[in-house]
Amino acid sequence: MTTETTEGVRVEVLKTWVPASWLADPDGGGLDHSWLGDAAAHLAGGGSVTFALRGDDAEPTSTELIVRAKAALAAVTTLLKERHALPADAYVEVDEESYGTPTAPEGRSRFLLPHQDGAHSSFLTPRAVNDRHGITETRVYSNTVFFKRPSHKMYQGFLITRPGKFPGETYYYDLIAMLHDAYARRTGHPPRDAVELELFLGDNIARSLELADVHRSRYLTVGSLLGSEHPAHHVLPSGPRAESELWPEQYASIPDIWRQVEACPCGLCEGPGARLMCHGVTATLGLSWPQTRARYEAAVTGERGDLLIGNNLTQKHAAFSARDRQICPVCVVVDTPVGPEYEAWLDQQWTQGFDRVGGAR
Amino acid sequence: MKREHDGPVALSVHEAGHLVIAHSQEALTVGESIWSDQGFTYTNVGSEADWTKPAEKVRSIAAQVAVAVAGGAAELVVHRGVLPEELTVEDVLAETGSIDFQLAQEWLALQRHDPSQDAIEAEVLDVFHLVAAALADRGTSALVSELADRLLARRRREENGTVRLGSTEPEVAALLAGARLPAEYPLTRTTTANLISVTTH
Repeated sequence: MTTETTEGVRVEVLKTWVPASWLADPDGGGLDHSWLGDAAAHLAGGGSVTFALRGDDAEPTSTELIVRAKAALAAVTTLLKERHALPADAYVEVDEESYGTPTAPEGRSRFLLPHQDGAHSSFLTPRAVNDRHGITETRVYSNTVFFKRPSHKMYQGFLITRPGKFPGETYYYDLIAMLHDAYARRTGHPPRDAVELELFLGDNIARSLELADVHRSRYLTVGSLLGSEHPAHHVLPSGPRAESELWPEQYASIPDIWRQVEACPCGLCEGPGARLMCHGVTATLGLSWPQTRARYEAAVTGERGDLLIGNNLTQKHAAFSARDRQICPVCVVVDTPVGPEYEAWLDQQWTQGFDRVGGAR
Repeated sequence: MKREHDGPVALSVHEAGHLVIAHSQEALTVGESIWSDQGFTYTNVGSEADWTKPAEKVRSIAAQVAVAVAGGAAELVVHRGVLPEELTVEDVLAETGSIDFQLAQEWLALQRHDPSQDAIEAEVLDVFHLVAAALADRGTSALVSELADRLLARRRREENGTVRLGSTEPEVAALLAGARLPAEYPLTRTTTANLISVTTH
């Protein structure tokens, strides 16, 4: 069963033009600005925010844009702590500017499939009180191979320093809305409350962990989070790009995965990764990958100097980018996602996420 | 593993190439080469590297890249007897197949946030040349052929099951012990000094 309305299932995106006067003196500008308060409230409420940081400059340098991005995100983080229950030990993590965008071999662009940044240790979990599998003791999915830091990224984002040959698009997906629909399809009735969804998610994460020796993935996929029992749907393609391949051992050890990569239910998806995604969402949501995009996707076209920020736990994000695009990743993280402050923040996410999709409608 | 392999003989050489190079890498542990009942092959490789230590992380990534391209290099050098000189990225992609090429690429992309694709492809090309040169040694080629023959013989004895060639099997271990290969292949195009630090405040 899938609900027919799309109301409340798409992430709302707010674009904020940061005033040049604040950019000129962010320390002196303080936090008492409506644009800043609105952005923090929008993020806290489950939306995503695009901060335009170009100001009055025609072409600010990338270094200057990164300084502005740090300042803007630091200010928002402070407000999230003061007004919206972000844990006091959360902090801003700024990576290096990228050199480009990896594609499939010889590709000129990539479609990065829905994922969460640093998802070996950053993914949506139940509140500890609703965890019957011990997942919330560490909230770690895999811990031997990861990109850079094993921090728990609560908000992910990036500053576009060079869009590349064409303007890239970033896509957001409300994971709680997707869980709601997958639960309804699985059980034949909508969840009575957020707790039922949390238990459902916890069972799905536990299943994926139990299957880890088979699928070998380091990140939870959409299919695994939404409850697929097929190990193939727990496999994250390389990248994770729509155009990309799986690992040799995944082809060799998962029955049937070869056929799933060769052809998808809708017959429209291009690339091994996209076709596998199509199978995963068909099994859990009853929708093909293009139908899933049509129902849940919110799209943002990013320009140079835009800082895109979204919730890294209640949302998944994807992107279509040129090979020569450059970005600087920025996140709001905690080192250990445990304790009463984290649980209170997570409680807020579950409660409002469930309300967004209409509660027990 | 190579999707577009030219038959069981080429595939057995391809997989033996993975096994031999994996065994030579100090940063890795190698288990066995497996030929699944569905016709797919892979070589089980592991690492104990601590990824919070940049030097360990880079060494293990470099080793994984060498192993990933070794199957294609073995097909070219050992199976077809070609001594590679000036290969292009397209040539390497054709030899390794897209699955192994992208496995190498994925390891390289884990070094930092998004190295450029140009740098990744140049790095794969460089490592392929180094590995192919190492496999071209007469003794090493003979070793790859010997292991490929054993894997293929097991496949032919059991056509419908999964067959394995383990690096710790006494006869296999003895053969591998005689190999003289570089213990690591350096990366020069995708590494950055600052691998794990970020600005925080």
